[in-house]
Amino acid sequence: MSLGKLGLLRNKKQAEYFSQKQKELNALKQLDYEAVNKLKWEYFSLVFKQ
Amino acid sequence: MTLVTQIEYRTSWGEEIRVVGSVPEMGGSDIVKACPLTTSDGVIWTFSKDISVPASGNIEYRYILFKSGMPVRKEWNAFPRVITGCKNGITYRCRDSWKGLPPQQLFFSSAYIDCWSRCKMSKPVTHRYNRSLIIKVYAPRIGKECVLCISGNQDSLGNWDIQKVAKMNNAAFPEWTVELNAANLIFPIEYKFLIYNTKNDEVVEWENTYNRTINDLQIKSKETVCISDLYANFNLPLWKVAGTAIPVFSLRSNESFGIGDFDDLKKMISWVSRTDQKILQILPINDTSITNTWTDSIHIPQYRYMLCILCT
Repeated sequence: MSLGKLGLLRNKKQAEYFSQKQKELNALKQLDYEAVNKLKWEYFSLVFKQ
Repeated sequence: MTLVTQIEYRTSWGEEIRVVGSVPEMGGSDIVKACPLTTSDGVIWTFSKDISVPASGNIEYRYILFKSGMPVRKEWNAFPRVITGCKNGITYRCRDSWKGLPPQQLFFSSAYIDCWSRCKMSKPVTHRYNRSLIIKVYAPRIGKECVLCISGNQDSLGNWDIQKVAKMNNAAFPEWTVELNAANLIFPIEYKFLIYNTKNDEVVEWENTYNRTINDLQIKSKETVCISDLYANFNLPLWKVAGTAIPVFSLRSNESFGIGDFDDLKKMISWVSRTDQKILQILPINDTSITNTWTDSIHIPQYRYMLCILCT
């Protein structure tokens, strides 16, 4: 599942932040597991609260 | 209808064979109510019962080995033994064998049966003859353009003429069946199974064993004898397919969030399918979060029954 399928963030600032991070992480030469993990969890909790 | 089944099982002292079936007379699929078979020598076990035909016309049943009143061994039941199209007033005599795990179990997996070898199914057999002999055999590895056939020393089996072999029915694939009019049979029957390519009209492979034989079954009027639980023996080359092995996290796409996820897996599956590959192997996708650092490994999953959170 891509994050968007869990639900989109209504807060525009947050949405913009995650989309920026997504581009950065996807552009990395090597996967950054820990950063992905941290950001995904942030996203989960924000979407869940929403 | 009357059901008479027979199975050979060399029991030890204190063991007995019971049968449980989908009809109330045979325990209604409840193993606790399984019906004991009788034997005089501890080898040949028989069961006989009058049964009212269920609405579906089908009766499923399996054998269980009991010791001191407890079930200790069950049959491999991925493809249950079924008598189809049961009718009132008919006696069904079944010559069964104990079903253990089959040789080359891969070919009985749902991946193989439903996906790789999905073939055209025939309609189920309906009992057509007053005196009838049904032969059932498992043969999963037949191929899409081929059918399993039977050839033998009978008119109905083509008298070993390859132009006149009898095609078998695959309604219960991977089991194939043929029904013969017992009135025209001359015992002993000798026969073999073979794979026949219907597209090129040619024999692909004969069974590489001695002829199979059936001695006089003395099939009476209004009686159907069923010989089942056979396995066809073909000396086929090793089954080879191409595929890809890749961990899900490596499938990063523009839509991912830093690592490959389950959506990317779908893309990968489409590509595998379009390039005619047959297998996609991935690393474990169980939940791994223990420390949330690089030391977490997919090979020491935290929860075996949870999927990796990161892949979502």
